[in-house]
Amino acid sequence: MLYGAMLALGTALAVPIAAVAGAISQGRAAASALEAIGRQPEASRDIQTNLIIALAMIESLVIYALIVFVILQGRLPAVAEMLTAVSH
Amino acid sequence: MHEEGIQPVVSFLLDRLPPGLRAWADIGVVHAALAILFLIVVARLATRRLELRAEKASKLQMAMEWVYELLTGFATRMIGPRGPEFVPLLGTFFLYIFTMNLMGLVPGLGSPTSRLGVTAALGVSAFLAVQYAGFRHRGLRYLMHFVGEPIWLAPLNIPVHIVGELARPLSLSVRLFGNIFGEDTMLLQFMLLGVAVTSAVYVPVPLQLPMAAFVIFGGFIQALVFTALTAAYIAGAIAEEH
Repeated sequence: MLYGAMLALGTALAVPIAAVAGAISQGRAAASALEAIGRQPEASRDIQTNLIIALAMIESLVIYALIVFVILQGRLPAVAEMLTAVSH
Repeated sequence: MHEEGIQPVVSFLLDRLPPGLRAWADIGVVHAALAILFLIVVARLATRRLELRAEKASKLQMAMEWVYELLTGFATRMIGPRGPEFVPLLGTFFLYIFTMNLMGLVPGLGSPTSRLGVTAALGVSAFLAVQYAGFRHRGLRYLMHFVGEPIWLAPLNIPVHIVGELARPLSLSVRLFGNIFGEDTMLLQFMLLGVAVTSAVYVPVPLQLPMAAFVIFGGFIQALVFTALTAAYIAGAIAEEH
């Protein structure tokens, strides 16, 4: 039962933890990009292109966590099994 | 992981085939072929009667020329003066991936890029294209890439760089797959939510429409990122400074 609980907890927490880290780093990237645009508005298109690429690279790490979630979700036991295991 | 039921139209048509052929026709590949067919049809229609003067050109031709100029400018900005050589490759990646991403919004069809097989093929193609560009433009000196700056660190640098190089197609394909699969799943969940929430009034409200707008935006961004990263890798492979 402990194994089932830990598996479920790990499955559920994979993406949120990755999302926290991803959001913090994307926020920093966007903040510095916006600041650079503010300092030099004529470079706005170049900065925007590089910003989008950087955001996508950071986001891909969060997507890896989503893949882990999808894989683990396939290995979770059914609810009925878990309930019978808990009730013993 | 992905039931055929999400893409019913093509599943239904493929089931009419004899069993030998049906086992061979993979649904992701068939959808990808549909995207290719669509792009070919649009291209032929746009270039049916090419006109040099702006007043006589058809609207589709002008729209395609605008797209072509955007792609050429993009390739030149990312790769430099050799950019236009790679416009066919990068333009194909972008238009093809964007079309495939948008196919998920068409009722009855699905996104082929929501399957790891299709995105892995794209990632491998991009990887091979980068290697080909590197060898063609720099010859065997391209292999010097894997040896870093201090030559005596080569035994450490070479495996590290090779692994890094192999990680690129992996990350390209998983990024595209994860994003589009996640968007598809989100769309499905919102559809189910819409049906569940409004089941009391017997009129299903399409709660997934804002998500559909996000899918369009996300599909565009992922196609752009794939193309931009491939362009950056090509630029790194053909760089000639040292």
